[in-house]
Amino acid sequence: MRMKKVAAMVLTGIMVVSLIGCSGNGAGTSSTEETASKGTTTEETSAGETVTEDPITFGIVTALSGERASVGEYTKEAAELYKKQINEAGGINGQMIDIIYEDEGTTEQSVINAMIKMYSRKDITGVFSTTLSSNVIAASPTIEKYQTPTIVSGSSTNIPLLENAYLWQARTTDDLAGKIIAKAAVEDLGMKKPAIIHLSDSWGSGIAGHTIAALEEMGIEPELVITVNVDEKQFSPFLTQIVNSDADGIIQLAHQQEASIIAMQSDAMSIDLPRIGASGLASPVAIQTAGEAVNGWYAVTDWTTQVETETGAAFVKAYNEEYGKDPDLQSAFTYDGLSILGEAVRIAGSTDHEAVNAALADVKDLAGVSGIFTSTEQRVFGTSLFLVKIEDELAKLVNTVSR
Amino acid sequence: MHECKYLGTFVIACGNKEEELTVNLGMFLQLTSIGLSMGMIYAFMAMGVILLVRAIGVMNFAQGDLLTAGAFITFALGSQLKLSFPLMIIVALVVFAIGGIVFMFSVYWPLRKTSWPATIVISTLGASIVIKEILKFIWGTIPIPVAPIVKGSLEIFGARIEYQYLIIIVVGAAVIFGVFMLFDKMYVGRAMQAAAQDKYAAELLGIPTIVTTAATYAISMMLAGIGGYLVSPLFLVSLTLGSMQLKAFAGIVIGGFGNIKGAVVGSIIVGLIEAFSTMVTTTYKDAIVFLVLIIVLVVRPQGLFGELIDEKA
Repeated sequence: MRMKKVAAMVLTGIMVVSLIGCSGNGAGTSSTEETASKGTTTEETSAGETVTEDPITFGIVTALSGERASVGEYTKEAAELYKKQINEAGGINGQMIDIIYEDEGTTEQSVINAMIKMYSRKDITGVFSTTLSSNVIAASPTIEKYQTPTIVSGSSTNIPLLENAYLWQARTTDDLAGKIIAKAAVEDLGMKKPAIIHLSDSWGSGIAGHTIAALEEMGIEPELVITVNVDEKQFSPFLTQIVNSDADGIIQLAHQQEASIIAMQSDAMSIDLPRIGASGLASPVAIQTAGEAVNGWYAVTDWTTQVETETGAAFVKAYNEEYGKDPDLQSAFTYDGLSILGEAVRIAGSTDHEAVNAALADVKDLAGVSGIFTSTEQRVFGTSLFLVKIEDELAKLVNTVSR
Repeated sequence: MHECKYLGTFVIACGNKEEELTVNLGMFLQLTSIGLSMGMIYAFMAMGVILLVRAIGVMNFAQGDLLTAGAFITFALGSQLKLSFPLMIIVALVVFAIGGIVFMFSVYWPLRKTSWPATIVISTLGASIVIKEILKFIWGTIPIPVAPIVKGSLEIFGARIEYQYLIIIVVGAAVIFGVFMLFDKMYVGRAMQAAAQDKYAAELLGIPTIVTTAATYAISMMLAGIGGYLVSPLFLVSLTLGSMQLKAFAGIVIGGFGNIKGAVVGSIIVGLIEAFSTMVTTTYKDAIVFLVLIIVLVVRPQGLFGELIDEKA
């Protein structure tokens, strides 16, 4: 009886402390992370008073937990680097910037909840999200409802079809990637009967569709098309089917973790067919994970640390100096996404949502770290992709292909 | 219904030209080895869960996270501290045993006298989150590759079977045999079974139930840890390894709840179904596993080795 009373008092105390903690935190829940310094600017008025100007605040919705938590790690690093560099250079239009993060969780609903929480803030000028294309499509009505300019790193060709005036894509869409993959598979790797392994999500199905269409234009029919679930880890049965078929090459279209596991398991099975993958395979994280198993793979990607542009090389150097490691795919997407948002704010001269959203259409020839960004009618900024070959665990540039 | 043609020894083709399903010996061996090895991993988790159910009457929903912890601990001992293989195994088993006992005293012991059994279940759910966050705090979120125990694959009849799968099968069989011997032949195992069946009677006979419960937790953690160590070279050391526990639960139900032999057989069946279902579907293989689970529940609700409880009038 006495123990019950003590337990009840302890539980009550914990609840009270939690409530006090929650009410004291303007962001609300522990899934929100605010940066330590707000980067506010202060100025003195003519009366000698000090006025603090609020910073321009960008929101980032990314995976801070769950399967894709590593994405969130690289996203935050790139975002903090961007913030640091911009603030050290005097901010945008003289105003410092700040960045707020929301955890997208692991389901479509949690992504939507995170977006709603972000959009409900009055200080957000624009939002960048690294969530998967399928989640972007699910969240599109929410984005449209809150009318906040939102840039995503998803590359599915289904996103422009939503015709959402506030939804923008930083990367070029997968139709270009599909064409380059098909061309490289046939012309560079000599495939005549490729086997395709692709993820079942919107991105995976989309890029697979474009790849198959491009192959068919060249008179090539895939020997096998294998669809696998996102977060699949056991690829050996599928690789077994490929080995036992007449396929003369492998095209894998998967995100980073799945791409590295496919490379590892095909290496463990001593599969020596010509092979090519998508952007996930060429990411530093996938290469680091798969190790020497990934050598010999080709990939079509938005980002390589071997990028030859001045902006890209400077980004790699700064990232290494700040964090002691190479920037991953998500780092480049985030840095470019924020650069586009920042450019739009600069053009608009305002943080008003409508003004910034209109200014996004005026972003032209912006030199990002992964390429040149120009707004199109479909609200897509990316204009080029890289064909790389992975050798000595480095994604070495073979060719750059622009629209 | 597809028409099947016999093309030769161990080769058949079913269906029309566009949907031919060809099974040859190599593929059969490959899928069998994959299915058996994954079944062993599920069996490690399932045995651990059943041992705890028999000892304390509650399902441990953190068993998958204990497997994940095992993967990280063996990575730390082998790759970061660079212990020799024999020393790494010994230290790992000791760490697992201690970890299991710590788990018991933090998750179960304070709540052991509760009148509401769901309390302990909720405690294990909370432990699952805590374990994940601790692992994330120490090792980060990026999956970590570890080298297989023996690199390479065995080529036989056209199959390329990774040595790691064969090692899992052999080690799994040995561990399962060891567990059965422990509970069937050894005094310690019988004492643990006695305490699990009737704590009060066991205490009267001089069997210290706190020791037997701690031993059960230690063994459960060791099973999970060994499973994590064996599976991590295949799927990377990552926070998501624990998601396999769902398949282990399916194996427990198929084999017969509360029955260790059933848990092992059920888990192996799950592994084989999962592997061979990829012949007909790649995205719905998990759905097929759970469809079989539902069919078993409908046709034989007590599972393959369980006992049917008569309905009360």
